[in-house]
Amino acid sequence: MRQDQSTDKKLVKKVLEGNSNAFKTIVVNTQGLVVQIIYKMIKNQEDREDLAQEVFLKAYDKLGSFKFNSKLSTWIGTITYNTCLNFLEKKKILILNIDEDGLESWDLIDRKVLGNSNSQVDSHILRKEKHQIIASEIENLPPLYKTLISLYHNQELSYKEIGEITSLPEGTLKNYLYRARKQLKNNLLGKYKREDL
Amino acid sequence: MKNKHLIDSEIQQFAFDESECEKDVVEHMSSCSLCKQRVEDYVLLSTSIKSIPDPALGFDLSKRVLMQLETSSKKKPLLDYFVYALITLSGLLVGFCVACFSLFCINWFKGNSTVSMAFIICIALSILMILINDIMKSHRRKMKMLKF
Ligand SMILES: [Zn+2]
Repeated sequence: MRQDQSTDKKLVKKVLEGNSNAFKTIVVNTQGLVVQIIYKMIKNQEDREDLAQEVFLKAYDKLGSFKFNSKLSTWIGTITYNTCLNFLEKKKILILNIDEDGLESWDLIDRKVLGNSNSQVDSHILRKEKHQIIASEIENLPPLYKTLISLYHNQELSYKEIGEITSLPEGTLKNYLYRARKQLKNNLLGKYKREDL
Repeated sequence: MKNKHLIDSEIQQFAFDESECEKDVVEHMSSCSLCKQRVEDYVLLSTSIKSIPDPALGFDLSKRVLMQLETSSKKKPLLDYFVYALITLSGLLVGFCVACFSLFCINWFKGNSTVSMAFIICIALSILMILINDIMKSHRRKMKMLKF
């Protein structure tokens, strides 16, 4: 973390002195996280491309106000998340839509699996799942769940960092992650049965 | 030790945050093959998610951002020059108008006789008196309304 911070400080100083190559390095280092968040929150490809540029232009404008309380990448992640939130708010798209029926059906599926002590089938499905199926099932989750799953499993960020990006308390964050994984697992099980793989 | 099977959140906690698990949960896990299997499912799910390739934009983002920054920084000074030029121009125009008006006033005073000057001053003073009277009246009216 300390090494990260000193690298961040050097880079930010260079950018503020007018070195555009230093900003290029920041973009290259953090674009993976930015693109991951945008792709999980936003569906339309054109909007994704516009927002990715908007995020870095905002980061460039605000760089002077960055206080090094977090990693630079986390700070840019926060800008990305908030930019996406504002965009979805304007479009009146909810980031999380938990309907009670959905919650009930997860429990039913889980009980069914447990009741039949059919967990071998369960793991068999998960082993057999192709990446595309998992990717498309992740795509069907609400934007917030998709984002949390990708920040935790793909970007391998800590709860603290995810909390800083999304402004969610750690307890809420873990709870959402549990629900997201459970919904994903049950959706995969449902699909497996439907398609009778 | 817990005799009932673990609930889903406990299973996930064991899979991803084992150090935070209650002693009961850990003990149950050591002896229940069904719950072990459920943990394994989540670990497998996590591995599968990790193996999904990262999304990528179809263009060089850093290049595009730097290009936008360059064009916006070039645009700014141009805009600034335009604003400064506009302010100077309007200043000159106002100055010119004031100069013309004062010249006109001086010439006008010079060209009129004392009688007509006195006449004009009288009219101006009476207009002023009427105006002051009107202002005083409305002021009194407002004060009255305030008292109520
Ligand atoms: Zn058990």
